[in-house]
Amino acid sequence: MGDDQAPQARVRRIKAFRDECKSLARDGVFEFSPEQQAVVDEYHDELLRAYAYDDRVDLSGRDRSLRLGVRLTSLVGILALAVAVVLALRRSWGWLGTPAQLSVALLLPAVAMLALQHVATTRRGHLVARALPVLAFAAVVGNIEILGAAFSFAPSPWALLVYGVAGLGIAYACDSRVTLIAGALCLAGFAMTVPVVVSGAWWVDALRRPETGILVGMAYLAVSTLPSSAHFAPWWRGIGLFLIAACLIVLSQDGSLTWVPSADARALEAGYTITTLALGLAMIVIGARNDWGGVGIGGAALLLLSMTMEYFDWGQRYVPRWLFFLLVAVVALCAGWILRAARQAERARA
Amino acid sequence: MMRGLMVAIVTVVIADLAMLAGVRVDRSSDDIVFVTLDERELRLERPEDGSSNLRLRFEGVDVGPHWTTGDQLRRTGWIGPETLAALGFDLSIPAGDARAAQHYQSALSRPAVVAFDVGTDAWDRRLAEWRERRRAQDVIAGGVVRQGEPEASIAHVAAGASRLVPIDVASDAAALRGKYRHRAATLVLPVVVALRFDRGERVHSRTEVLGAVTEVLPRAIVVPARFLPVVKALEATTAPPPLSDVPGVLAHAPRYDVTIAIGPALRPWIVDLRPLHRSAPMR
Repeated sequence: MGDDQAPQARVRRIKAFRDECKSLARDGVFEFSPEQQAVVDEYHDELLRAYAYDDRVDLSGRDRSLRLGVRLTSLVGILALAVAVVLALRRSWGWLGTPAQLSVALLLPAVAMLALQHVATTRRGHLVARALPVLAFAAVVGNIEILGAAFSFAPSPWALLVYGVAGLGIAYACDSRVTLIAGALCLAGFAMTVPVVVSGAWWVDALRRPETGILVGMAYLAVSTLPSSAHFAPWWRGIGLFLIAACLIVLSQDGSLTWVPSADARALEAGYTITTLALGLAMIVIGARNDWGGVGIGGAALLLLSMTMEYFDWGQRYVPRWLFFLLVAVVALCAGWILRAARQAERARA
Repeated sequence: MMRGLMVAIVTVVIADLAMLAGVRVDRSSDDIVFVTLDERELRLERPEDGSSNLRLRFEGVDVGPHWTTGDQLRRTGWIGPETLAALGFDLSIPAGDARAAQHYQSALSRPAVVAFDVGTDAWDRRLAEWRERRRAQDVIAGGVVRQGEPEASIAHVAAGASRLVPIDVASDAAALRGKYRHRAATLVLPVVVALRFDRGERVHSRTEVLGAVTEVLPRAIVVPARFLPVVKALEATTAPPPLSDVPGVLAHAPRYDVTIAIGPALRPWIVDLRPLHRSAPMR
């Protein structure tokens, strides 16, 4: 368990311990003597008082809700601040000479990184420490965009590589999930352009060959299993599954976007539709077995989305709608039956 | 902590150095071409969000079979099968084949370079062809069908349209630049070329695979700060230009001309921007 989770887990254990002690006393099974109770309570209270200064630890359900509210409003504030800075710069940007524009462009990420290093070490957990990684990432993007526009550079996939590496570097340095997502998506975009560029095509058309995105998503799933990524494992898993699901859905709607030039587009659409449904079911099962709530919910969402789209398309082309949904129902019920059996086995072991 | 930040910083520094070094090498090259255009080809683009970052946008460079200015001023489908094959497109399936539609509609675009002539004989020839076609076409005006566009309308479009005419396309920028090195009125720009599968319903009367320029890179050039007073003075002394009936066609005489430089890396920059007298004759 990472350092961030340890205090929170301790708080949970203390609360559970207190609740259980009360239940034992109420049922007449066991009760501490007043002296013992006082010693334990004092020790726990001292711990909780210490944790109360740690912004990352929730001491109660209400505290957790408030922290979530603070994080959401902070996120909106950070994004609005970034937009305000960019718009303010744009208003006067044209009046700056090229050397001044270059200086600002070069200084932006340098200042942001220095501030990031200072704040992340001295004010860890503070709002500013959470805002700065996002601003630093925005500064990196601004730096490349400004230079590119000033010197008429054509759009290039290398920019995505720079954003990706910088975003992930900042994420791992400062424990920033927003920059992790941004960096991972930029890096995925770059990886998707590689086979397109190698084939001599225009890199932006990588979006018209989404199969590469499936491979990138699988690579991200592999990254989530690495010990060095344990802290971000759920996020890598989520981004990987999102990429795979998004690419499968696109391909299930338009099979002509395949890398296989001679393939029958209709057959591919059918194949990818079945794969999408299978992935949705697999996500529900795997999520339930491993206690990954997000994966299970994502799987259910994918199934619903895919079925809704097929209701209007594939289902009516190949099989009657009633039969299509009957098949889906049978498969889902089978998956539920497997999960129920697995649950019973788990309970028997416990 | 430090390792992640170092990775980010080093990545950005390498990217910046690579870009700045590339610009320096390009602009200090002895193979720089200077081309003068005016407002017909380079339109002033003022961002709507109040930004002072002015740009000049290339006009008349999107030359494809689906040009819909209403008058087909641009030659359509000018990139033929041989050139498309030379650009690397897979044209192995005949246009009439049952698999052709899927094959060509899903083909990826390819980067290329196009040589544009600016107001040369190529432009005169195109204009003459277009005049003939317009005169021969039936026009509906006020519910009455009559043959031929009014001369005034033809003259308006001919005078206000961009004079950029694509004359050649290739995948090798250096070779194309070398080919037109001695022509002062030829501008070589990077573009993106896409295939268009025409079922015989749009441009040609038969099923055909055509090439289209879908993007010019860059689409616009940033106006350096030293020329902003010129633009300000232009806007202060001239009335806002009226809107033209025909998209892409200037409704007034050009107000400025611009000299752009372009080196081997094909990244144009503005070296001069001059106001033109309002009564300057249109070519």
